[in-house]
Amino acid sequence: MQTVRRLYLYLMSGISLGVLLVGLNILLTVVLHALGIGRGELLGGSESDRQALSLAAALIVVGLLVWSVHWLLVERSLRRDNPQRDAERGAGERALYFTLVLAVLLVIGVLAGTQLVEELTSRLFAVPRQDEFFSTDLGASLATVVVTGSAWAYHVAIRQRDLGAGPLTGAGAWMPRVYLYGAALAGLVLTALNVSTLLSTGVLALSGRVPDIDLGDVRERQAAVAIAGIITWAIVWLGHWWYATRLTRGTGWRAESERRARLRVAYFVAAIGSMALATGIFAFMALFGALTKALGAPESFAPQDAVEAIAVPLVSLLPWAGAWWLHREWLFVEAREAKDPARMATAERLNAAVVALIGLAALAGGLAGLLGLLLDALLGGNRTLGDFWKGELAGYLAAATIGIVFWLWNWLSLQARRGAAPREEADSTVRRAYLLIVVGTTVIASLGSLAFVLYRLFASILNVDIVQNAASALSAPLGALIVAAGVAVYHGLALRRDQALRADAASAEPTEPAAPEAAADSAGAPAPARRLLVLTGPSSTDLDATVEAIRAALPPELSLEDSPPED
Amino acid sequence: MTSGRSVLVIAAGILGIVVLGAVVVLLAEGREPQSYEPGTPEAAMQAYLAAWDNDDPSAAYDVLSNSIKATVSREDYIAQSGAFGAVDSNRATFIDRVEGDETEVTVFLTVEEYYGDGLGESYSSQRTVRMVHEDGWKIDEPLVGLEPAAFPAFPDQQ
Repeated sequence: MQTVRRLYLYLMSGISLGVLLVGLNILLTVVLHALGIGRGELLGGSESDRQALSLAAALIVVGLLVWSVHWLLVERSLRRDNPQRDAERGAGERALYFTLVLAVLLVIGVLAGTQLVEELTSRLFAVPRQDEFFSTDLGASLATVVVTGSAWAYHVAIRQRDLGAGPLTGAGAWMPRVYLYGAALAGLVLTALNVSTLLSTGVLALSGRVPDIDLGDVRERQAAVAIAGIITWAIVWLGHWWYATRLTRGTGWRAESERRARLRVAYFVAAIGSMALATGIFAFMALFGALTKALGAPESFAPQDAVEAIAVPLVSLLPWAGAWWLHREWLFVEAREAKDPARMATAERLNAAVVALIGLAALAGGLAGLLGLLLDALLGGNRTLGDFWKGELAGYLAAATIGIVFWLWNWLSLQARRGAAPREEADSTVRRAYLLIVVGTTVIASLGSLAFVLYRLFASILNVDIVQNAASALSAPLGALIVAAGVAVYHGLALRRDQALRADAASAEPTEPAAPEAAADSAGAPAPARRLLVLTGPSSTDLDATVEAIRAALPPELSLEDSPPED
Repeated sequence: MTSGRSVLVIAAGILGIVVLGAVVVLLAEGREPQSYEPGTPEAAMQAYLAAWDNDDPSAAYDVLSNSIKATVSREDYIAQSGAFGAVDSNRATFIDRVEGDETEVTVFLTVEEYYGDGLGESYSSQRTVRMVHEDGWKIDEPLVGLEPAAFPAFPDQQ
């Protein structure tokens, strides 16, 4: 019942908040225009302004009324005298509401803020901000920043009040973390993207070809937009990251909860994965550009200019590689600071597995393409006639090269861990997940390729195959089939060895603890039944007294052992 | 260095990159485009694009071949260019090379377009333009800017 009530209240609050904010946004835009910001017309000076004011007033009245009623009902549930206050504060529906509202307000506000900053940076480069199709209204942008920023700040304050009232667990704790780390990740990716754009623009401006005709100062415009993006998205990334990290450095339940948060580790993994992927893509582009030139591939494959083909992607990968290294280091530093060997091992495995997956995908794709080309040449296909194959070869070679570096580096690290502690690694969820993902994906790819090969064969047997060259039609799927099957078998065997190790360990486990007892018990009596219990409670609880009470309540044939907790 | 303390260092680093990038782009702004020998197809193409850069469709009309001019009057061409909303102002054009003989050539262009809003949209595309030699090199395609135009391409279509 409470769930349905909450769903209704938060849904209505969210919708009416949207209506209210749109109305306020329109109103403030018209006011700013009247003050000369943006379009710069007098208030009420045009019919469109009066129409906008009418609409704003209607939206504000309706939105404010509905939002106030529903939000007051929500707030009433959080009064100190309400015994259900903590349940309301930690409710999943409330957490979902905050997560969505904060995320939507942030995105809209940041996009509007970027337009404002872009206005300043465009003036720096003396370029018109947009073309005639995309003219922007600074008054509207400023109004959006003010309105969404105020609403965002209000909801942050309410969330802080919730957190300040005592520990939150479950969805109430983790769901808003999705916003926190999601915003940090989005900010990171877009900061890196814009830094990458700015660096490549700088290289092109400095040493690239000068356009024969430059309609609208493309380089300056690119730089202006990139700088605006860097400023706003870096604030989003660093602001959220600084807040989350400051929490982990504190004391109390919030610090403890944040330090142990799986979403924080997920952020690191997502950041490492996305940064490694982008680094790999730019490294591929640079190598591809160099190989197309070395092999004399047709110009359609890559830019003619060496600066564009090689230097620009190389420079573009720098921010991604830097952010990759940074997050890798942060992940390890936090794991080391936890003084928990298991956490450190998990961090190392996660880091290696995510990059190994990216590398293996590139390596397998490149190898499949190379093998396909080789089979085509050997079987008398037509793919290697002309010059087009040189571009293909450059692409496959580049992918395989980048892939093998990424994969070998990290797979060898995973294998080295297994060599040092086989049982522990075979038990690792991360290693098992990595192997299962690879086996699952490559089995699907193998089956898809096999189905295509068989389709071609059957069509040829039934004389309905319309392709001109059967060898060329089969070479690419055959290459994919062989590589996918090879990768599946290799990783499948690794998975099987791990499973065998786990099975051996499981069968040996009952005999090991029983051995000393069997030696001690010369009468050969069966080992007593045992059960391990963990007693947990607030720090103020007298655990010793509780243990004594439990012990006293036990029947005479049962005994209770007590040991101090592990640190 | 812990992640908390390094936030300030990162912010300073990003600021440094912004300043460096801005300075480099501003300093490199003065680089002049290649100057082509008058009477070459490249020079004619550059003049045609420059006419659009100067918002002068009448000058662009002068670079069209007689066969194209026969399909559209100067007034209609200017009106047509207005209907097209002029030419995309977020575009840089590079003349890659010219292939052909003394009467007819194909000019290979790279067009770099940019529609940035901080999410990095920009792309390059290659395209070709046919030119013929009449009284100088002329564009022998119905174009407004670099876009195919809607006026009849051939006189027999009128």
